[in-house]
Amino acid sequence: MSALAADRVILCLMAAVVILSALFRPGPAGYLPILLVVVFAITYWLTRTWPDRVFYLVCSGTVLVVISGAASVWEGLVLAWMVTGVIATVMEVRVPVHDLPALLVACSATLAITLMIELANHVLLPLAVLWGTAGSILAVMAIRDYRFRKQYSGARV
Amino acid sequence: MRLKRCTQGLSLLAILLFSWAFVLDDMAVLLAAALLLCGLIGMYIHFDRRFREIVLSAGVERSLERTQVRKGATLQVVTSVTVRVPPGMEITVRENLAPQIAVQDGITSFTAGPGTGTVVQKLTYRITPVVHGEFAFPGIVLSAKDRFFATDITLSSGPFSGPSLFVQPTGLFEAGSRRITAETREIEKMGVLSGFGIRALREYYAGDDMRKIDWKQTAKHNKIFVREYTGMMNLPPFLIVDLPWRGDRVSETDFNRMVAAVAGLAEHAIKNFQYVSVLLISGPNILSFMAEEKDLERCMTTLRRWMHPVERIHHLYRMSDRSDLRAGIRAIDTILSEEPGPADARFLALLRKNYQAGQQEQRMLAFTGQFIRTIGQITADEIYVFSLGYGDTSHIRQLVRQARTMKILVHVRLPEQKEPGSWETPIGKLGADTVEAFA
Repeated sequence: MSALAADRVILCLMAAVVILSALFRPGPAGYLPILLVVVFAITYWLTRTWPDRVFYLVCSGTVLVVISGAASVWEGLVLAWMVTGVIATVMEVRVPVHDLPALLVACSATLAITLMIELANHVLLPLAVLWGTAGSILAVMAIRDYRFRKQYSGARV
Repeated sequence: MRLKRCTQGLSLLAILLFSWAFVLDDMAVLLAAALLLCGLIGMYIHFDRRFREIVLSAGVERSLERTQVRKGATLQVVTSVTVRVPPGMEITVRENLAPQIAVQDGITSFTAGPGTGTVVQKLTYRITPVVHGEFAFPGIVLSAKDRFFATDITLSSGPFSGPSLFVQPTGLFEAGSRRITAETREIEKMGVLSGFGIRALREYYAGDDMRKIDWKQTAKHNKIFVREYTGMMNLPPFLIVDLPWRGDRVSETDFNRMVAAVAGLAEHAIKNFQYVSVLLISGPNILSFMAEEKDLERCMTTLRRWMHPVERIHHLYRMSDRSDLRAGIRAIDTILSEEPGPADARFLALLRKNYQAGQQEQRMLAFTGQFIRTIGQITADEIYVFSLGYGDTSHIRQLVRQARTMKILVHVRLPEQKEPGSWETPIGKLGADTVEAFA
């Protein structure tokens, strides 16, 4: 499947998801995501030659995820995966076989985050957990980076 | 690690979403912000992994023309860099050069990617050590970037650094490489004629002249070292280009011919003598000075930049200096000694008085002083002055006089004379050794 066909398929899937959601939840909360998928598709078409295309796609995709997530966080997650898929095809990212575990870890992480948000009653606790986890990951990365640079700059580790 | 513009925008968006979620206690916004944060961290980890792959795949082999040189000598360095560039990444590799050396010419960096696979690139350049002592080449600087992140690392560990270069100090009592011997100078190259200066030391090979063995270095390093002496070469011509004033009605044909003649002579000098010195003036204004320029491209760039009529800050008009006035007084004295008529004698006496008054007031021109200081920086035995010959040429006469004082031959090149006497200044008054048309 070519990259061009892949992103069109994902866009069609996004449309199908929001239409199905609108069928189950008739009303403004169901129809607005349909409009936002159209906006996302227009952004996708308009920014074909723009240098920082990813940024504009993420911005329009974020609005879609926020509005869909207001109705159901799981729907928001599915749409977020689809937006990521479109962006990945735009960036011509090919996931090799040996990177599939990393992809699974990323999917699991997003599932865990969504589950945590679904279970929490207020923002504060998941926000603290998220910031704590992100800070820990960045700290570990910084230490690894420091050790790596030290090793290659000729110093003893 | 540096965030690129797109990533900065995404990070700002994530922060705004988190703030919004916190203030409004909105779970949907938190979901969007959390997924965005997750994506950013994922991209960072992915970039870091690929960056490590690049560094692990990098290999450097560096070879020097010589490992022992004298301070100020030039030697060639060849560095072969092998590196694998993953898809989506772009890398730049540049030599991390020690501050003790100056790069003369050549390529010291290259860029590859994205997705070019394994790249093998050879960097060839020439360096001149400016400080004596022993130092190793510090390694390379590797910069990598993708759409979202950019970073660089200095690779100075064992496989990337070295070899060591041993720079001998210039002898305390040595005159340096600019020693002149009968219109020749020493060059940092081997030549048929051997100079007195030592350009390099190298290990002894069977068949080398035993007289060239440097016993002090041999004793110090416990290896036999021989001296390589500098070669001798003739001096290149020094070019002076007198650019016309913007107000002159310049003949385009003549000007183009002058430009072609200057460029041709400069190119000839660089190819045959390794360098050329060019002084660009316009009347009594010094515009630019290229001292011993070795790079032909840079020389031509400078010439292209300056070769056009320019505005003059100072103008001269039939400027006589003290020696001219002295010559005038001597000529008047000779005529007066022949007892001319009373009217002529009165006139000549008045003229002599004026000349004497002028002589007392006359000071050396600032332009002449600048020219003397400029020419003092270089070694030349021939000067070529290119001029269109428009307007007053007192400044050329000043140049010629100073050059002749320094025993330098002066050749003036003017445009072709359309008809006899079309040059505004009589040739003889310029005082040059030769005056020729450049076309």
